[in-house]
Amino acid sequence: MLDAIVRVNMKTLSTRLDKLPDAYQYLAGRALSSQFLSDEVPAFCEPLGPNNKLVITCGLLAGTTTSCANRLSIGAKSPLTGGIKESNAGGIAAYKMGRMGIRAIIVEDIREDDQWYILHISKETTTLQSANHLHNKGLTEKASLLYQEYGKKVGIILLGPAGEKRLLTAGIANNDTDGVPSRFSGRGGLGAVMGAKHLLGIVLDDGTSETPQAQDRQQFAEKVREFHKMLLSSPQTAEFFPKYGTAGMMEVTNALGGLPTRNFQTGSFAGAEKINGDALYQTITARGGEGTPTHSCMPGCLVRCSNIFADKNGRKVVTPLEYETLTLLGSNLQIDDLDFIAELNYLCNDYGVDTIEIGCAIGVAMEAGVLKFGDQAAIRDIMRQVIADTYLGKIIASGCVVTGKVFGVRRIPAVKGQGMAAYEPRAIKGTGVTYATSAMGADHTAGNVTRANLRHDSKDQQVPASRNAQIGVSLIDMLGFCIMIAPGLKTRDILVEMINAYHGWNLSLQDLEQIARQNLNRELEFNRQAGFNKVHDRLPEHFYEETNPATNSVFDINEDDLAEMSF
Amino acid sequence: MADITVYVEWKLPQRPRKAVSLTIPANTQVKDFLQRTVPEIDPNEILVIIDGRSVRMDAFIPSGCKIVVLPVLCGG
Repeated sequence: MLDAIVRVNMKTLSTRLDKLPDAYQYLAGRALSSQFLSDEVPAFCEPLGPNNKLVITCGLLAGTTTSCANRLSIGAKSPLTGGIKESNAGGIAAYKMGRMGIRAIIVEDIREDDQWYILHISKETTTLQSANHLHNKGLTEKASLLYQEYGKKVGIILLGPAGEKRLLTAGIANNDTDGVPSRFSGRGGLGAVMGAKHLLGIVLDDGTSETPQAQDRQQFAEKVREFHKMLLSSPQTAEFFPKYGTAGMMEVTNALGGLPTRNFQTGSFAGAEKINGDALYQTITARGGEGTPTHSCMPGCLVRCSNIFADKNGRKVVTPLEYETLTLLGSNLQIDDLDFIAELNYLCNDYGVDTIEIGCAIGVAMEAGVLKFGDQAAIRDIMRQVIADTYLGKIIASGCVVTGKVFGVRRIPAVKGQGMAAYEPRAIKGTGVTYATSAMGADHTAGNVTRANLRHDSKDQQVPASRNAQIGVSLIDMLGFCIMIAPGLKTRDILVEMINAYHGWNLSLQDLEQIARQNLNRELEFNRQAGFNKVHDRLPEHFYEETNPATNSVFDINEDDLAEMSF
Repeated sequence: MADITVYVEWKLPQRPRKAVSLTIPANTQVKDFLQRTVPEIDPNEILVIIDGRSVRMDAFIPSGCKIVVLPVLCGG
């Protein structure tokens, strides 16, 4: 069970079914994608070239309805960072993979002709099918056409026009429980890798698959109940997230002076109360209609931190509207209008670009004077240029570093080529340490330290806090769980107990933590071979020299401090 | 021991969101303040911000400060 590897070669248009090597039986999610990349992809290869591979994996409980256990993980060498990359999302694709016993899909080689394809996987067959009719269509239309062809119950992993154009902000979407292709593996430009392979999407048709059964069904059911009880008894996972979603974080970061505002010039936004979790909740509930403040993106999810945002007439605009988007397309651009951010979010989703990277890029363009902070009309115009693929649009869609270089900006909020997420590193220094040291670049999902009980604007204890967060996230990612379980997780032992019961294993938590550490070291080694060294483990210069006015602090964690970082 | 007045914004899921002025003893530590005001909540699940800065549980609460009491979250 859960031991099939689907291999697809896009040059020869061939597919093959392999069995998971015994040595990798405990690997899944991010750990498995990083293992395959380390084994099979030359670290120095061109990310858009034939030697890079796209590795799509699910977690160890994929295919079950265990809450939060069906994250889809996608990895490749990133064209944005030049290093190894993993980006994961909710949705139903991993659930479908699990039901079909597929632990990984590995997409190899590239095409340089004008032919585009869909990979169709069912229990009986795996085939590449011509899909030129989907080329250059937005994600909403692509999904609709695929549902007409394959039925509405399939899982889909889908590329937007941005990925087809191999733009560095391109993500990869998969569909949620309502069939909306809105769950993005957004970071690192992985969509460009898929685009280089001319693979427009993957259809996962589990129609005739039998529901997978646990090795110890009684024990598994008991442990899942225990886990669900934990989630339903924690105020954060049972009450806060279902009400405010990830947007609830904005009150925390704004209070800490860590809410990126005006291209990360400061960490406090006067308009935060108009776009934070409470504002979002009040707006959605007041409007009613198709909107809802709480929504499950994965089968069986009890946390339900997702939402559907509706317009003033109650018609759905976008799902979900999340903290990172509200910040990077909101406070970072000096925008305090939920409707406008939702409009931008939909445009980004349909074109298939990462809202974080686009928000960082527009913020940098604002710093350059290309448009003014807070100018909605200008932002709307530049977003339309992105979609129209004008030269200015291409620059923005190539991310914040390219945008900064083109316009001569020195304050570019990026590490290892990737724009920072929605945590200001001079105010929340532990997350800044993660930005600096993670193989993933400036990525909050690599180890966000906001949870730690410490003074976030102080230098003390930030490196160990980041290390612990990075190990913890690596563990959650490799098991295929959603990070939103963290506040409800009284002990990580329950994760191990569920996995042991499901697979008939006898692993300890220490065993899994060891695999998580090995994974982090493997990713760092890949980057070392790709040419990264300590010089790259730094934030941009201005964060060390200019104070965040909200906290009156600079990022003062230097190379000597970071030398403590090891896994 | 003299009392001090502080301004507190409660933003925890376990209680109504509200802002109030409170009188507490001088030299009160954050952990004691939480024990007195929200004894039912594990302090490890609470983030306390005083005058715009996160503080540790052993920090002393200054007179006239603004305290924001938030849940510990995991990001998004």
